[in-house]
Amino acid sequence: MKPIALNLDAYSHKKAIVQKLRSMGMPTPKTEHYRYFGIKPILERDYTFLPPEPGAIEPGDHLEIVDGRVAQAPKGLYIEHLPQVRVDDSHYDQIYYISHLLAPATIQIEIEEDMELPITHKFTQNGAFIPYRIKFLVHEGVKFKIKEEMVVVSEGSLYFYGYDIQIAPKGEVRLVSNRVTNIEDFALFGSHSIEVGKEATFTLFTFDLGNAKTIHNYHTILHERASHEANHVIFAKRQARLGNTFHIEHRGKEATTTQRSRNILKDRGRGIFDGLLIVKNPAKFASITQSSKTILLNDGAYMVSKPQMEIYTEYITQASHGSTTGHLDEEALFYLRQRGIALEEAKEMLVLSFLEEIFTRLGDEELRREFIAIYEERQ
Amino acid sequence: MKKIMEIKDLHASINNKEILKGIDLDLYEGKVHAIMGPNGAGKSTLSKTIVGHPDVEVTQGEILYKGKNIIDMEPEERALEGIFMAFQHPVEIPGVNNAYFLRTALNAKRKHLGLPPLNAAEFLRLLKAKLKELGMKEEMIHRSLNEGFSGGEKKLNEILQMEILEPDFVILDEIDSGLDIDALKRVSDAVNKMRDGKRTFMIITHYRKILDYIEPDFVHILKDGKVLKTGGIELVDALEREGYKVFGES
Ligand SMILES: Nc1ncnc2c1ncn2[C@@H]1O[C@H](COP(=O)(O)OP(=O)(O)OP(=O)(O)O)[C@@H](O)[C@H]1O
Ligand SMILES: [Mg+2]
Repeated sequence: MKPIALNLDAYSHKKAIVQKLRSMGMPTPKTEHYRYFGIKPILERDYTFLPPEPGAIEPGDHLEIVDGRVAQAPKGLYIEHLPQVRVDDSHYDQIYYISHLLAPATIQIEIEEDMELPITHKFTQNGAFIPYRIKFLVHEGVKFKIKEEMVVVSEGSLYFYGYDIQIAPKGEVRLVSNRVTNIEDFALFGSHSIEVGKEATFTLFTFDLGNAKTIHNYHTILHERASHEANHVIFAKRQARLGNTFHIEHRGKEATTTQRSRNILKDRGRGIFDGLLIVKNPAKFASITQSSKTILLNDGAYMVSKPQMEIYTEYITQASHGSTTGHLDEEALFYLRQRGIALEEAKEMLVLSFLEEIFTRLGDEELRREFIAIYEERQ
Repeated sequence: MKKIMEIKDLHASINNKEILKGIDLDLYEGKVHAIMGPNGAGKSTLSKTIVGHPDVEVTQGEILYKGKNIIDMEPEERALEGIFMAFQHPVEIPGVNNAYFLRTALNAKRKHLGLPPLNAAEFLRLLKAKLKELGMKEEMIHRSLNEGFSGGEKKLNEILQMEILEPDFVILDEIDSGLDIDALKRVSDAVNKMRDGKRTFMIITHYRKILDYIEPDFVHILKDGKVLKTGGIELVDALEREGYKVFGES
């Protein structure tokens, strides 16, 4: 099956989604958020379509999803498989709707009390096209932490996945995504929709490392006094294209958004940080910050950094915006080398110092060590 | 007297502009060499050439260190062979912890010498003793490298690194500028304590004061990319009286 040749007529039972897709059209190389990703060869390829069917779930200490199917879950986690769920009716990404259309069922989990949930996604099929969706309903005032990891052993495959997260008022969701890929011929589209209720918070950390083609599209809606922090680290090498795009909408007043992207690009690697932070008219007194910083380790690497703001209200509490791209600081590098530290190690020290701010915010020593190990391995 | 370094007919350029125009200079093991000269004479360029700064291109001549030409050696190899430079303008490196940096540097050196690495606790003990001697605040080692340090604090931090790394050949590029009177005394004490008859110092300065504390064995006057004169402390006296014109043109 070629994703580009999707026959919408076959999905008449999901009428709303089909209608939405008809009006949006299929994504093309001209679609704004895919402009720098090279979507065409990925969608035109012929894959074996393997929609995941729910099966037996083993008890375990984490949620494990293998090729879109829940294989393992902690006891007490109430998992439903719903053929139809309510979808975000204003997502900017076609693939959000396509994944909802093609996934036979959405994995839905209600979070009724504070919890931490480690999730492992395993991608094991070769030459496959697999769509799946996960939905979390986080109840009022509940603190929910997700630590997501990816294991990729699949080649020549395309996966569509994504989270729909609804955070009720005063809920707190923290999602840490450790997305390591080391297979060049592997494509992953994450298309996410997060609705952050009144006075709720959504904190996101993403670490994209490797040499595959992955893109994550976030539509985040903030209601009154909601707050959102998004921290992205990209380390792309060889022919990798690793990207995050977003539409963050302030719909309620006094909401806060802080975005940081720290990008390290090597070889012919490409990073993408592209999107819109939109403050709607009634959403007065917003505080919004966007910052993207990039280090190019060599010529030939390329960063697309296009964070933008659209503000439709006169009253803004705070807005700041910055994007820089450069090489490693030569003087700093020399200083370290003059003290006997080898060139590669000196570079690594500077790269890690560049990420220090994000690691400090993350406050997870284990993840930092993991990252360093991966970084060293990936050199 | 044994030569630790011989600089022969050294020509070097920065951005295709010749700055060093034929330097000949012998530096002796265990001695203190003071280098003086007007602004722009090429003193810092000479130091940068010795430590292998990538901006400097050597176009002619050689630098023999412990009998070996080091011109083609990487900066870190030269450092591991015992050459240390205290920078005229130490770099601020946000996000690199000072103590972590210094331990990495020390362990690189220990590895080079075939010694086992020091762990964090052992290292901290060593560090604390040195900090106290230098009159540095302990919190400075837990901060980012040189970030937000005052001018004098940066200089003290260079000396701290020198003490920890115990190099054989030390270049101090205007270590005295920006230091208050007490700090200058402590830095001088630290240097004097490290004068063990083997370690060589090259002290670049504009002022006599530091040379009252650290008595040089030789004084060299550098001007317009060449060594104009070599002598003893009497050269400094002449300089203080009459300025650089006393040495005439090269
Ligand atoms: N990166 C550079 N690009 C161009 N010219 C340079 C560069 N670095 C040094 N120079 C020039 O080389 C000459 C020598 O500079 P250098 O820093 O070695 O002098 P100095 O003797 O250390 O002076 P000071 O006493 O002021 O420190 C100066 O004319 C300076 O402008
Ligand atoms: Mg100088």
